[in-house]
Amino acid sequence: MSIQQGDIFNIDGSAWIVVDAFHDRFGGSKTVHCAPILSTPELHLDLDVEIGDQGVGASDSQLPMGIQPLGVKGFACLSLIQKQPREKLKVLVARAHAAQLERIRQNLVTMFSVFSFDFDTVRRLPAPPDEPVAIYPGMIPTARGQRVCVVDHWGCFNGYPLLYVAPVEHDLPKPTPLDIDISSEYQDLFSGRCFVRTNEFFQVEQGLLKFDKREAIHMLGYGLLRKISRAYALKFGQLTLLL
Amino acid sequence: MSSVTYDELVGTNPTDSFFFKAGMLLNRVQRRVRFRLVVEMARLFFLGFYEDFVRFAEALDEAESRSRDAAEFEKVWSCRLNAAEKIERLVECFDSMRHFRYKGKNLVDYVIGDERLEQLRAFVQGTRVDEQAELAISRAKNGFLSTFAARRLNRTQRSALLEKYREMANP
Repeated sequence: MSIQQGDIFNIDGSAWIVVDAFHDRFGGSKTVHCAPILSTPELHLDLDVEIGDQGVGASDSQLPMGIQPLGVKGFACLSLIQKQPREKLKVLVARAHAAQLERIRQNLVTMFSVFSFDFDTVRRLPAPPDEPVAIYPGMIPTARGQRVCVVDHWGCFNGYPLLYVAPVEHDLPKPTPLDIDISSEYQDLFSGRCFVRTNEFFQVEQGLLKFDKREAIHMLGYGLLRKISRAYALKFGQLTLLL
Repeated sequence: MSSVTYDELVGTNPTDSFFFKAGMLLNRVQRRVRFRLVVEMARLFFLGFYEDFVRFAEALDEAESRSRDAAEFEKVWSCRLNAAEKIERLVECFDSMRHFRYKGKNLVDYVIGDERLEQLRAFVQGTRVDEQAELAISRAKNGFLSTFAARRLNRTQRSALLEKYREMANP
């Protein structure tokens, strides 16, 4: 069964909506970015999208034959997106309405786009002080033992405790349009070309981002951040149809 | 590592060059009059143009990456859009000549080569995709400015978000 953006699956008793429109390109990824559908009022944040009976009902007719639509009500929590293994996406329960899907796409572009910050004055910051440092998109700290690039504009702008980051890797044998070459502004000691792997983004607690105190904080400039934002518009939008 | 600014980039746009214009002109002429001389000259001009194009595409990518603010980025972007528009016309022109043959092979393949033509086509297509992405960003920006602006979390939302994240990370 092909997995489409907007499909809602039951994973271990919870509803998750596929937000990724790029997962089956370039050989297909083993994981798919999905957002949980929650109903906790405290977790209903500004960019979340209401998934109610009305919208889901309108799309029931699009479900494959034999699939019984289940009542899914809540909101797609875009602040808690996770990669789900493809094999877990088996029990399709509903599909989001076109208007909800459009809203999800637009809000995700907002979350990852450069316009929420003005970078004119920020190129390189001094070494972080002992107390927690302000985090900006484009910074390259370490998380989970690897170099990452902060790509979460909305989270940084609003001081969220959780931030989306994308791994920074070097010398990829087959870079895709979602691997942004940042070698013009960042190179580590042993690499030729460095890439931000936007397609592999994940979430970390802000307090767990580590900066090497011996060196200045690496920070990407406006141009590269805009390219990264474009890559997310490609990942979440329906631009794959144009490729 | 070299850096390219917008000002340096403007002078290097190959679609403004003599090679490109002469090639386009001769291309139109050769559609009617397939003189050998015309074909050979068109071939030479387009090979020159293609070499300029490769250098330009690299410089453009670098200038885009090195833009320091939105204004600088927009200038480079408009330069790319302009070039892509002209190259699209060139590709269409070649596509319309597909049925001509010259020296036992396809005329288009002889004049520019299929591989080079595909590279030009990829440049145009890549620019169109990026254009769509830029439009998506502009639409989201309008929504952001009119609806969202800054939305900081309150204490309850912060702790609920962290709690849910930890619960999902360690089921």
